[in-house]
Amino acid sequence: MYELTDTQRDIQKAAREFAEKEFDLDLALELEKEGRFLKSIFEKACQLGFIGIDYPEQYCGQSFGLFENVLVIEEFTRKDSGIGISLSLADIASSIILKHGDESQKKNFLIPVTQGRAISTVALIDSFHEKNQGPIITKAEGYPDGYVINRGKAWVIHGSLASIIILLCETLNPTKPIALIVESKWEGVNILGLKKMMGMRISSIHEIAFDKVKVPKDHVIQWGNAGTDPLTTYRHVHRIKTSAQALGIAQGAFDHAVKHAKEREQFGRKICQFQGIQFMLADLYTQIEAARSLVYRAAHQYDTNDPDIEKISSIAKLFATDVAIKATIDSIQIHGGVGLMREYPIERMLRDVKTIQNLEETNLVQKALIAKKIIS
Amino acid sequence: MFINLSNDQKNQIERVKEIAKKIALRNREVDEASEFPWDIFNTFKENHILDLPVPKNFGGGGAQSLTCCLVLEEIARFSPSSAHMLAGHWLGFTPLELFCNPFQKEKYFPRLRSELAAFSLTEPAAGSDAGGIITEAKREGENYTLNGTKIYCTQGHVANVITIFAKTSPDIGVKGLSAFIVEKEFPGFSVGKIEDQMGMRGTPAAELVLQDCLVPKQNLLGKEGDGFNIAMQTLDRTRPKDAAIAVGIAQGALDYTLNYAPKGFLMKEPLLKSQGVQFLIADIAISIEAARLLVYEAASLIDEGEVSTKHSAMAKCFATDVAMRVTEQAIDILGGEGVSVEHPVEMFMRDAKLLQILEGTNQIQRLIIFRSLLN
Repeated sequence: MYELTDTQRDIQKAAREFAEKEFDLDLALELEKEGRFLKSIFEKACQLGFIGIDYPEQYCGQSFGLFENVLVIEEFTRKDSGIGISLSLADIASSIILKHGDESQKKNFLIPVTQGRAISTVALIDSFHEKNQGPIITKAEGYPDGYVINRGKAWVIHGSLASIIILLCETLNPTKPIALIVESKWEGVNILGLKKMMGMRISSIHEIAFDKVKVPKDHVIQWGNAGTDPLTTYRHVHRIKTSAQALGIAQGAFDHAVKHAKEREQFGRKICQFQGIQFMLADLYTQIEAARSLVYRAAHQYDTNDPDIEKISSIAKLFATDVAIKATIDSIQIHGGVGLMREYPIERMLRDVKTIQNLEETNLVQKALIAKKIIS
Repeated sequence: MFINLSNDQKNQIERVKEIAKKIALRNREVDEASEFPWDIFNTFKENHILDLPVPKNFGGGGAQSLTCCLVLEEIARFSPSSAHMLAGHWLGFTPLELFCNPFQKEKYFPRLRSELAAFSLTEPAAGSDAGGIITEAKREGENYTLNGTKIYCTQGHVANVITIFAKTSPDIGVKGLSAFIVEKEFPGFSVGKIEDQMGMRGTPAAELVLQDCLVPKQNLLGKEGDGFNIAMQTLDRTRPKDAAIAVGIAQGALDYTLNYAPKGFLMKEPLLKSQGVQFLIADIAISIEAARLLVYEAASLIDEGEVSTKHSAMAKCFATDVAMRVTEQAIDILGGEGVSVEHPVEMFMRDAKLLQILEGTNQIQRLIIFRSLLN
């Protein structure tokens, strides 16, 4: 279908070299144990342009697209699932600002991220389940064109670290979800508990409560000319980024499996010489290649504003995460006992990918969405 | 084959269910600390679950394989790691049950009603291939001297009596293997690294270091060179027990999912209204029932004196694969809550993964099954 350009190959290579150099296994184990995000790696990734690779140059980005971002994410999670995911999730609000934000919002909320000074995230308020408790967001009185977030809670990735939080909500008009930029330092933004998950521990998830938070006009994201709403944009990009994380993890688990199978001897030969292992590797290789094609295609379609993005982003997320689950389970199996041990990266890959697979829209949701598109 | 559970077996299930529910309250603490839960061990001891397979004339429960499997399944439904502790003990007891001479029986059977046993075959270079064992046992007068390092011995760091496999004749592969009853107090025995593993964290695997470890010659199990046969006959009888734990894990994940699902939503509709979810749950139930029947069949064959290597391997391979898939699917149904440590399903999935590997990887089981089809 396509070949990576020389520039894209260079980006891939640079990301790989960065990950190989910085994502030390012992460091990752320590971060995972402490549930800690490493700011210094994030800052380095910003300095080298990996974070913000898809922002225009005037906002200190590299002017590439989601496709190049995907290449970087893949290399990052391939080397270390936990650190890779944590970096990939450090600017999840940016896709909304890039597509829907105005000039000053882009300046104010993209540049600090590329400079390593800020982490941006998203808070999805589940208005559906709270509909009986009165409106979550109302127009602010005596506060022209501003809003007040009356109440609401959300589980937020990097919730305790992010200074920029985009609140997404479907309250005012169900067909027009609203997006507000909230700064975590504001009054009424309260960090509550930590949600401990089976994986993804380097990217902690905190519950954030909003209590009568006033949002001035310049922090309200308008739809702009994007043609989609901010929540949908976020969904599309997040699915594709999740699929890229999963793709990298699948490839990483596969790399480890091949290496182990070529080194480990049982019954007088390398275990890669047993066809039972060979067929497992062949199946994985096939599925990872197929996943890669889908993920790359989805990113490409996002960058080219393809109208089919709703479906392809769901397909990519569904398939790539399923492949990654299989790849990590099989990689543990090929490793045998050592694959189960926490000092090796494989079992963490399974825990990490199972977490990202289920954290937001599950694969059951993806199937429902894909089906809806097919029969509509 | 049609399996009818006896009243005694049904009573056993009811009895351990209550105990298992209480034990399960400790699941998270045990998982997080990865420490052997002595309180749970004591519960098993006091309630005469620990000594279920010990013959009645030695004061044990005299339970057959199927009963043991039923008990493990029921405990694993609530607390997989606790079931794994029992299975590990029974795995340690099985070679003694099969091969002890009268003297050894008198000495060890009563002890194993209240002390923990373990089984140690694996070495760094000998996982699937037991022929690769390099731990040596040299006969010197009244003792054997054992030298070598064993790994991945389930609860080997806390067991008092361990069946250890070592080579009495090097260079002739598995034919040179012998089995020894080793007590943790024997000079030269020590515990090395204790593993930090992804699942079954209450019963971690341990490294055992044998440095001129002196084992009295009376502690040789069977004859010199019997080791491989002892190991294989043991595993034929214990694999259905691992499989029973797998069935319990899968059933526990399904129970929890059904219990939670009425609270869940999918695309703003109640979760259980989704036909995708309904069919997924139906598939889960089908695979659990199929695995359960296979386990009961393999266990019943043992009880009827017709031990089937093939059936034991099929039960282990199938049931543990089912447990892995079912726990994974249960998480998919529960979504974000499924991967949260506030719910047990993610732990069940981590526990299930171990079962696909221990006591012969599922690849080895397939090898065994194929070979048995040719015979």
